[in-house]
Amino acid sequence: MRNLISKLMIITIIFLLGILAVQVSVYASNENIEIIQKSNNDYLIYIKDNLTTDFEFAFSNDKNIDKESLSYKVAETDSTNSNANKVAYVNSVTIGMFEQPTYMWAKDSDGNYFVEGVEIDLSKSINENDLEFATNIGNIIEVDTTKTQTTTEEVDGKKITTTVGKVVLTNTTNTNSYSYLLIKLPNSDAYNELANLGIRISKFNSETDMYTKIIVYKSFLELFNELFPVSEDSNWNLVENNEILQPSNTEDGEQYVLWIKETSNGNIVNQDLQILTSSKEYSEEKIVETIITKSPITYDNNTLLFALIALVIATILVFIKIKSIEKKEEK
Amino acid sequence: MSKLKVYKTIFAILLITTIVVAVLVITKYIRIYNNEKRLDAAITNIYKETNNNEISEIDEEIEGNKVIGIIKIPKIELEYPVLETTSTETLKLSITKFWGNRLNEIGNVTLAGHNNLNGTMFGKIKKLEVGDIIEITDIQNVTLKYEIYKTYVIDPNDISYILPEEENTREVTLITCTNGIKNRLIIKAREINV
Repeated sequence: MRNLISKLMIITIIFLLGILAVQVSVYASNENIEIIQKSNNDYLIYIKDNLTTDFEFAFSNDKNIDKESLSYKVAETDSTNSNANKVAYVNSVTIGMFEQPTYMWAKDSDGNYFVEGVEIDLSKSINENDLEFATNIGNIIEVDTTKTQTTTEEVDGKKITTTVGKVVLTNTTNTNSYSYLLIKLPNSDAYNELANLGIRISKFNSETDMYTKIIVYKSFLELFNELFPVSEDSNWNLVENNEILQPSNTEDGEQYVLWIKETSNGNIVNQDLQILTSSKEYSEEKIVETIITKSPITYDNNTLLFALIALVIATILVFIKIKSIEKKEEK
Repeated sequence: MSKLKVYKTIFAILLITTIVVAVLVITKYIRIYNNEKRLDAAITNIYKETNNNEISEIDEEIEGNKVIGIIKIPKIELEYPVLETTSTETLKLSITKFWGNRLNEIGNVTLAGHNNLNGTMFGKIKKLEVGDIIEITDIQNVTLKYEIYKTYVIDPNDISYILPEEENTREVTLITCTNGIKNRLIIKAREINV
């Protein structure tokens, strides 16, 4: 009986650890390798620092196999664009290998190996649809974040005009309803990281490589899915007049995560997120009080250097004078 | 006292003063040299840390002053950490953010640096011309390129340069002293749209 209880406990612990591992590694990564799962179930494998390298690759279920005996395939491009990345791929012919642990080798055109026996776990890939969702975050529910709202009030006998930012939903449908939730930053570590990743994604440009993008998108999606408020007590606010106003107590430069969801008959049809920096401007009179009034002094003071030069010259002149007097006295 | 003795006394005084001033000058340049070495090490450390983790932020301080990014100007081989605040002390350490939002945000950010005679800090930015490139890496390790579109000299009391010149544009303004302390050299750049 005691033995049975021990076995049951061990099984339970292993089961719980398994669940934990699955939760932690929703978007885990292979070492220096990122993978995209295409909609046709092919997989594209991106290798860090080798996105523009012409290379050949091979897979094997035997990690200790002689790498020279493997049959190598030529890397392909991930698109038809001129700046396409070189990728290894898994297709319907090779997918069967991955039912067992599978290892990868890759070598450049000079025969130098830069991937050797690295295990490829396709479960650590990011789905093409998820990637597209992450790419479109911020544009799924269309908004204009450049609009402002101005109010005037009198404080201590002064007329103060305050202009604050607002978010306007620009492409809504009458049949659906829109709700929002503002989370002020800094918040929990997870929220702060979500905002940092969101800002980072907004700065992606043509020089950002695909490997980096996938890592950031995966981290972002993981946090997005973890933090998206779903519970009943999440205090979602209904969007009225297609406008979301900045909270009245906001100060200039404060940051917010703005969750927006579009629902139809109580079901979420779209969800989106914006990372906002609040703006708050006062009247000209008020601004003058806070603005700087003169430029910084960035002058390199060389008085000592000039003094040294003058001293050296003076010392030489006096030395010459002494020598001339001594010569005269000798005569 | 003979004329010769008077000159010898003056000579002795001058020689001692020259040695003292020379020591002070050498000390100043050793301090600048050591500071440059420390900044190089800080930049190397930042690149090392951020390259090890693609999504890590810059987490570096110089004498307790937070580093908020890196400025790089390839044409004049300039590369310095950017410190968060501007003061007499921080200006001695590196380039500093004088005014504006965070680096690489929409709006204008003004960076200040000493016009050092030996060419360090902003000592060589007078060589920059319209069309030259400034690279700004922000605290999230994102690098954006800016192209210089204007350089001019102003009175130190004129602070109009802190204002953005275009809406919804990322702008960078560099400022340093020129004509001694009498004027300021302003270099304005805006993000290259890719």
